[in-house]
Parts: sequence; structure tokens; C-alpha cells
Amino acid sequence: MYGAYRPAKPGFDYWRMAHFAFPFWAMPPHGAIGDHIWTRAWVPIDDTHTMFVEFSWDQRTPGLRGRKDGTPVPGIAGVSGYLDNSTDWLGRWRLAANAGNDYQIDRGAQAGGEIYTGITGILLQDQSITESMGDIVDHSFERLAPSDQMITQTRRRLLQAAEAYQATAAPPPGAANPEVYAMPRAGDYLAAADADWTDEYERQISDLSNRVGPAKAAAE
Amino acid sequence: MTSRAEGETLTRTGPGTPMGNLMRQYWLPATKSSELVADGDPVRLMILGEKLIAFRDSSGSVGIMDHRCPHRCASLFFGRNEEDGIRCVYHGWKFDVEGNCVDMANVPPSQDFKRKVKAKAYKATERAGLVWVYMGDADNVPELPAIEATLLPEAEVTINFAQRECNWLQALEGDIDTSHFSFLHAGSVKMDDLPDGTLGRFQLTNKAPELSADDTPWGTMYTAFRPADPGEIYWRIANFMFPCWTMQPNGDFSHHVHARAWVPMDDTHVMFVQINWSGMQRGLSLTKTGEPIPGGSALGIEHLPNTTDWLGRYRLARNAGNDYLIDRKAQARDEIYTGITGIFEQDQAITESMGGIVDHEWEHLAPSDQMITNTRRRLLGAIKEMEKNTPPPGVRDPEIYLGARSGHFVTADDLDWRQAYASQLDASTNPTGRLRQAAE
Repeated sequence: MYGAYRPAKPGFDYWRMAHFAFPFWAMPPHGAIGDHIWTRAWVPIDDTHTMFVEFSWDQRTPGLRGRKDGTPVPGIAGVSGYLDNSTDWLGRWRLAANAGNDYQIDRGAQAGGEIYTGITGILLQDQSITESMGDIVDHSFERLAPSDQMITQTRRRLLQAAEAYQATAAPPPGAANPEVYAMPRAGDYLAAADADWTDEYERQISDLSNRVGPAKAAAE
Repeated sequence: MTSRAEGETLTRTGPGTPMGNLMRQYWLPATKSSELVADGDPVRLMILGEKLIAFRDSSGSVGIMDHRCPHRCASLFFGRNEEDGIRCVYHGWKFDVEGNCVDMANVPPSQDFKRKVKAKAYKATERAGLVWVYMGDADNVPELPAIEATLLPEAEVTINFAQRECNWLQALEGDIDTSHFSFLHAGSVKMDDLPDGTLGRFQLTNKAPELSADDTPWGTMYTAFRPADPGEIYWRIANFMFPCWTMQPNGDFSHHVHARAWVPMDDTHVMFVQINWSGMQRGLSLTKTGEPIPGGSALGIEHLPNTTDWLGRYRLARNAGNDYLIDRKAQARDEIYTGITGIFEQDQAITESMGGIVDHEWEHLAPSDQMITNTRRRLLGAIKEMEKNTPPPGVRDPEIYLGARSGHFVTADDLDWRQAYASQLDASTNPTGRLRQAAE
């Protein structure tokens, strides 16, 4: 879990909480924590292809999506469509805007400052960037920053779990205790500037009225 | 004969390979200057197996760097070229043309470490309408090579690029293999087609010239010679120049100011870069009615539209996918020896047909291939010398290229070829004022 925060109104910070869950699940923070039931899986197809599977509660309130006049934030609306599925091993759910057409980048909109990347669609913006790193990123070429602490921590956690499984066949988190997945919730909220961040998070999720599982694991 | 192991050494140019290390000692032509527009779209380049981007900043300076942002390896191709730098659109890190990180926008000021981060940028500069890149040791940057054609004012040169889908060496070897001209390019040309007095006519009367080849300070040189009119010899001279340059012989020696680079993109793609002086006089290329010789192309090289792909620049319209639009009937009627239109396309078809990288153990080299043998040996020798920390030719002595010129001419038949070369060089037009006889 991470919390990213920045000052909000006097005496309060704006918090964005997100989770990684074993082995390939993510809960991003874009929405109010109260009804933000939203989970994404990144299921490996092979070492250079991944299937993205997204679950989103239809009653949740979307996050940053609209401007105050009700129009969409530029570059977010109009997510491009899919290519027709084929019967190929890699033929399902491919995007129409893809590496072969530079994700239909609009350099004019980029230069004009209307769309930061020039690429329309949040998923597509992420798609272009992560695919552009190459099939498997060369980790020796990276220079991780303080902003990447969650990534560093997640990699370490995965390595530890994989090593433990190799060594002792210890089941990785969640494999033998699936109820733990009902605990986390991602999302944003305002908290008093002097509040402890983990305490505040516990308070936020214990207050939730729409839980489908326990807020705390019995054994932890 | 070239062994398979030697072939590997000669053809592989990726990071850490022996030939790759040699190539990285030199400035290489990368793009036309006109391809990069201030604050315009970054251009994807593939050179020596490395994926790079090139861009021109707001002040007009050119940057060439590894396409990956040093933060998390997102491609800077998608970056914003703005206000004197390229900004990664992932987290807003920004780099100037030298690779310095000038903004680390997603990190709180107290944790900013931009002074400690550099993009993997290479040295870039411009001359003669070309953008040049140096991909070697940044503490040991050489001068640009003093290749005659590259010293001319931009307004006096024509630059052509063409991508070829095969290894750089087999493409280059087509330029130093003189006897193919009488077949591949002129096999169906009849003496009656040619203007009276065309020097190149001797290539039709004698298709099996004698060959002499020598090492030179800048690389290797050959002459192909055959009898001309009684008491005279028709000479054709061409050069290989380190690391991937040639001068071809098809033009009058005294005005034949040009250079051709075969810049490895990856091991199976090469970018041809040609710089021609406007004062050049072409050799055997036109008939007496002023038309291209049969099989020649009036339009020059015809390209497909460029794409933004790593391998998307300067591809040919006549290519392997359409058998170079071969006209088997024109071939059968002996109108076009190959059936393929365009001298460059004829070379393209033949060298690509050898496969991505030719299998050198399958070859049977002939006496006509002596220049090719010499050049491979010279390259392998330079690699050996580099292992002893001797820089290869032209790196620390860029003026040596000023001794090189190619072309054809006729002399009395009592001259030694190196004497003939020296006297032609003395008498040649010298548009840069810097052409000199090689002192060695």
C-alpha cells in the first residue's frame, strides 16, 4: 500500500491511497474511498504480453474525469476501440490505437498543450508508455527516484514471496487465506495534517458502510 | 577466404562487439539536417543496433540519445520537445541536448536529484547538410573526418539516403567490386547506345579488367584497368575509407567529389548516405539521346513514404516484397540485363538477395574480389590494433581522408597505377582547396 499526499485546505492533507495485492492485482486511487470498489489484474499471457482485466463497481463515483463545466478532461474522453478479436493465441482484446500507429498520437494537440501526451485515453497513455520501454524493461538502465518507493517495495515483496515459495513451499500471501483480499480499499480522502497515515487509513476503511468482507484479518 | 568466425567479427556492430567498438570510434552520419525541425517531432533512429531519438531544440541544437528515459525507461519518442529540451511524458523529467536532467517535475524539491541523472546522450553536430553522431567514449571525442565531399558548402551538395535490408558490409562491398558494373548495370547496354567518346565505353569492350589493390592511410584503394585506344590504358579507381565509407569509380576523376557511407542500423539493415558535389560529372549513365542507359532510372531512387518506425526511413518502392518490380520480359529481350530498373535498385536486389548477413563460408572469392579481400583484412587488422590501444585510421588523423579521390581516366600505357593516381590527383579540380596528395 502507498499513500501519496500533498497539502489541501489549511490543516488538512489530500491523500491518495493505492494497493498492490498478490500476485498481480492493483487498486488505483482515482476516486473517493467511500465507494471506490475497483480492482485491476495484470495477468501474464507470456513474458512479453499481459492481459488487463478490470473490475469496477457500477455505483462508484468516478475520480478526476470531468471539468467543472461537465466536459471531459482533455485526452481522457474517447478511449479508442478494440481491433476485432481473432482466434490467435495473442488475438484477444488488442487495441486499435497501438504501437504500429504510434497510438494515434496527435503531435499538434501535444504541442498546443491541449493533451499533454498527444495520446487520447488514460489506458492508452499508460499502454504507450509501458510498451515503449521494450518488451521487458532493462532494469539496469533505470534510475529509481523517491517517487518510485512503492515500486521498489512491491518488487522486493514479490521476490521475497517467490524465494520463500522456492525454499519452503510456503504459500504466497492470499493463496491460502483468500479472505485478506476483502480488506484493502483504495481511494482518496482529506485527513487532518497531524494524523498518522496508517491510523487514518484504518479509520477510513472501518467506517465504510459498503464492505463485503472483514476490515481486519483475524490473525494480523 | 573469410571464415565464419571472421565474418561474425566483420558484420556484428552492436554494443560490445569488436566491429561495434571500431565503429564507435568515428563520427557517423545520422540524418539529414532537414529532418529535424526546432521543437518538432522527435525522430526514431536505429544506429549500430541502438534505438535512439534525435530532436532539434528551441535554439536549433540537435540532441541524439538513447530513446529510453533514464528514470523508468519510457521512450522519449513520445516526449514533448519544448523549451530547449525533451520532456518525458511519463513523469515530466526533462533533458537538454547533452542529456542533462534539467527538471524532475514529479519529485518534491527537497528530494530532487536531477544533477545526478543523465540521459544516455551522444555527441551530435552538423556539417554539409548532415547531422553527425559520435557514439564512443565521450572523454575522447575525435574531429569530424576530413572527407572532401563533406567539407563542401551545403548549397553545393546533394544528399541522398536509402535504407537497405542487409548487413552493412555486403552492401558496402558492392561499391568496391568494379567488374559487376559491366553485367549488373550495363549488361544490355550496346556500344551504339553511347555518346561518342564516352570513357565508360571501355567497360563494354572489355568486361574482365585486371585489378590491383593496395592499402592506403585511409583504408584501401583499387584500380581496375584495361586497354583503351592503342598505347593507352583506361583506369577505374575506387576507395574504401574507414570505417564504412566508399568512393565509387563511375565518373570523371578530376571532378568526382562525392562520398558514400554505409551506416549500420542493426546487423541486417544499413543506411546508405551519399553526398554528391554539384560539379560532379557522371560516368556511364546516359545514352547519346540523353536518356538513362537501359535499366537506369530517370527519377533516381524512388522511396516509400517515411514512417516513424525505427526502420521506417528511406525504404525503397522497389523492394524484396515485390521482387524489385523485376520485368522478366525486358530481361529476356536483353533490354535490361537484370530486368530491374534503377542502378541503385539493381545493387539493392543483389546484395539483399544474399540474405540478411551473407554466409562467408559459402563464398568462392575470385581474383576480381581482391579489393574485397583486402578491405576485410584491413578491417580485421584495425580491430586487432585496437586491442593494443592503437586507434583505427582516421580517428586521430582525420586529415588522411584528403588523400582520397576516385573516378575513371585514361593515360599512356607506360605508367604505374600509383603514379597515374598521383598525377591525376595533382591535376584535379579542388573545390575545397584542401585536396592534397597523400604524403605517405
